[in-house]
Amino acid sequence: MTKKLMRGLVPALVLSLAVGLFAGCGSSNDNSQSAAPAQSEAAGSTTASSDNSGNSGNAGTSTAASGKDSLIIATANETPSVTTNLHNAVAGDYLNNMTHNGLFYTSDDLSPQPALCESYEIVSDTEWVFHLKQGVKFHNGTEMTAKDVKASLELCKESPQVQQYGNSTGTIEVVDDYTIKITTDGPQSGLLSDLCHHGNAILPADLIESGHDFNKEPIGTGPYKLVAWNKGESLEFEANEDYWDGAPAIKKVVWKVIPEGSSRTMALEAGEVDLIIEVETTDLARLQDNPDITAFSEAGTSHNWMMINNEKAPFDNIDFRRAIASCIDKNAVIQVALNGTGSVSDSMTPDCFPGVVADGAPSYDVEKAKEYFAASGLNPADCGFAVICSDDTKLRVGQVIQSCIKDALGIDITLESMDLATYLDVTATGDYQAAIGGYTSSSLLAYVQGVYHSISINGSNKTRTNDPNIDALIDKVQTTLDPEENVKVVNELSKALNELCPQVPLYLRNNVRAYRNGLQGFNVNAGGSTYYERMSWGSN
Amino acid sequence: MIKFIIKRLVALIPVLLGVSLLVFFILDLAPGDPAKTALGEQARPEEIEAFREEMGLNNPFFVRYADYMLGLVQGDLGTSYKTLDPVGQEVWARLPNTAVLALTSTVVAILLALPLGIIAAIKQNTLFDGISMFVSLVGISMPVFWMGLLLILMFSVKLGWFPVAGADQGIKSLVLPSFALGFMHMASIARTTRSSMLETIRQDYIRTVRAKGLPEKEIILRHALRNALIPTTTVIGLQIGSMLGGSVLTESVFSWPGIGRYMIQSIQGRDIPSVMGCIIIFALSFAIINLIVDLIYGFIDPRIKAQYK
Repeated sequence: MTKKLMRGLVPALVLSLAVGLFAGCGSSNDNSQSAAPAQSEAAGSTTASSDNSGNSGNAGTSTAASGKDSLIIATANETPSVTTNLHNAVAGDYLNNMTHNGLFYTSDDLSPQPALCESYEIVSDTEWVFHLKQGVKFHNGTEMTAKDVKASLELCKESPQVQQYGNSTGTIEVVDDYTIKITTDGPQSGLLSDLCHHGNAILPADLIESGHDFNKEPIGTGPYKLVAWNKGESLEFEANEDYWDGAPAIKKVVWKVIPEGSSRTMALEAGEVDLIIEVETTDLARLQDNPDITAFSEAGTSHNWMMINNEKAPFDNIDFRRAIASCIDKNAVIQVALNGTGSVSDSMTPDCFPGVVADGAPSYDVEKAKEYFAASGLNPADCGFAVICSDDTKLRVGQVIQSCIKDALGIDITLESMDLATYLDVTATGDYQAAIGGYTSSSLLAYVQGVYHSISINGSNKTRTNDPNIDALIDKVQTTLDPEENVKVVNELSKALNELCPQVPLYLRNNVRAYRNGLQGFNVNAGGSTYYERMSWGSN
Repeated sequence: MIKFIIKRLVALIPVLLGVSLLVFFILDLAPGDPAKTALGEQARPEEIEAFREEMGLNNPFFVRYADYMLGLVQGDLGTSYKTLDPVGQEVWARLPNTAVLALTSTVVAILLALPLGIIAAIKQNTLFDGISMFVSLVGISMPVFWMGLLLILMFSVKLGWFPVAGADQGIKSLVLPSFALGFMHMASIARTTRSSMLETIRQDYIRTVRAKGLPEKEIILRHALRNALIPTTTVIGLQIGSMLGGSVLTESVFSWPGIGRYMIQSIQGRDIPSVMGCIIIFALSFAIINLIVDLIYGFIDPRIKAQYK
């Protein structure tokens, strides 16, 4: 009996292994064949258009044509927290947008639009009066009033993880149940953008006072309620049928944590998930070829650069900085590192914001790079430096940069791999020469304050830019409330930064998503936000 | 026997003390400020300082270690810097998943390895031997994430039999990760079984029972296998231990919500209490598994049992 069993078992094992290998090879071939079109695509091209109209209203409560009313989303990262004031993680921001509202939200064109705020008045440069929507209910059934808004905005100011979004709110006063007045500490053009951030989401004041554990039971006014958080695995949400803007059409949303990129792609192909948040760029062409799947790739605000420590030689020499910025083939960087899913950036600030220009910024021109280098008076043998790369994508970016600089200027650079925590530490304290990095923000003011203002040195100003003129212009952007005037100041700041060239801009990374056909109302704004309550299922 | 178990359990104390001190020391040396990593780049210096004070990060090394150990003996694994939740809660939420995966993978590994090893030994230098050893060579050579992806492609994407990711479909969710992990560990068990069996079946007592005319099946299963199992059991015990902590890749490929993945995330985020909690649990599990393996020796070979005092 055993002999018979063994006789059967061994060939069966070998056969199944061989079949498995062939299955894998087949798919691998498919992948490599379909990778070619992706590489020939123009960087930053849109591969799918959204049918989202951009309004804030929901898809409605009507039954979807397909009868499906659930959505399973695959994401790479699990949020450390769902408590709005205790994290500044992108993964958590996506979830907070489902369960909470702020007074404002970031629209598709990145402008702040009223959410829980009905209307507002700018009484003076420092006084803002906000009239709240009436009849808005929290998930626990209580009505939102001005005292909840005051308590929530003050909570943001006290929370280290999000306090930077509470700096602009100044003093908050309750005028009546549905009116609050904010007196800012000087004019604050970024106030409305800050009010869009999840750190300023509105929570019930009585629960804040009682020390409620919002991580276990997040109570907000959002279109979905969190019903289960299976740590390390998934988060489950159900529709808030009493949502003030109409109940969402999709009644159940599950976020599955799938850290491995290939597994996310295969889960979508197998129909196990409906939407992928972080699409592996190497899988994009394969997904585009799949008739059941729509791939979405549009320019985002994620600005990526080689940051350079301006306090250290040779980066304290402006001609050297401009020489380096001129000799890097950024299209090659995008192809090698992102498989084409990005767009070249020469400007020191993300090009998608009004007023930002590339005037005065070095662009790819090897001859010009040689001229700048000659003007710097430096010797190539003395200019070698190390570039920190804290993940595989950054390492690929570094390899292209290494080759470009060697070919154009004859300078040897070394690539240094480092884990994220160490990278964050050494770059914040200025104990480095160069590193591949990036910054994502839905607000230009937050971006320039974080990346270039001297107050952010030892924090997120990693180039350690310390220029009084730049600081003054950033402060002017902050205090100029008139939108047209503000754009003019941004324009002036953008040109000044481009001239100074404190770092080497590389690319704006696309927001890449993929979802099953039939999902309607899907959109991602440049800042990466998606509003799931606007979606519904239709026929394929 | 009970005295032996108690002695071994008491011996765990210095082991755990040593492991905890070593890991605490290494994590302390690692670059990167846990407070800055936890609060983010934009946190103000006074907030970073307040966090350091609250978490005791300003205290000297031995004070922090003593505080940690004091909490540990009371069952408190500390508070995660990242989630601000108790580490014990985070670890216990994931440990059963890892334990289930490790156990089912071990079962898969044993079910595959023992027949392969035995056949390879009794059919030494035949085609069966070659195939058996080839399969085990493939198992030991093929990276588990590659094996995992192949299994997903075939059984999830092409055939649709099993889910690609997660642990939410019960046994169906468990099949592919268990097979991927078990197949890898099968290789060393099969090779150990083969060499151990080869040595055993050449012993004089096997020749004697064969001369007495006992059927081959009985010779192998009743007389040879039992003696050959001692080294195999050692290897299996070590494999279970390594599966508890070393299944990170399998957990990532199959999105299995286990403790290995949690530990890697904690290391990346310099979440020292979480890393410590995971390692203490691994060390404890490993030591207990070794104790169980030692006890199993006694059941396999009564001569060893006689030494348990």
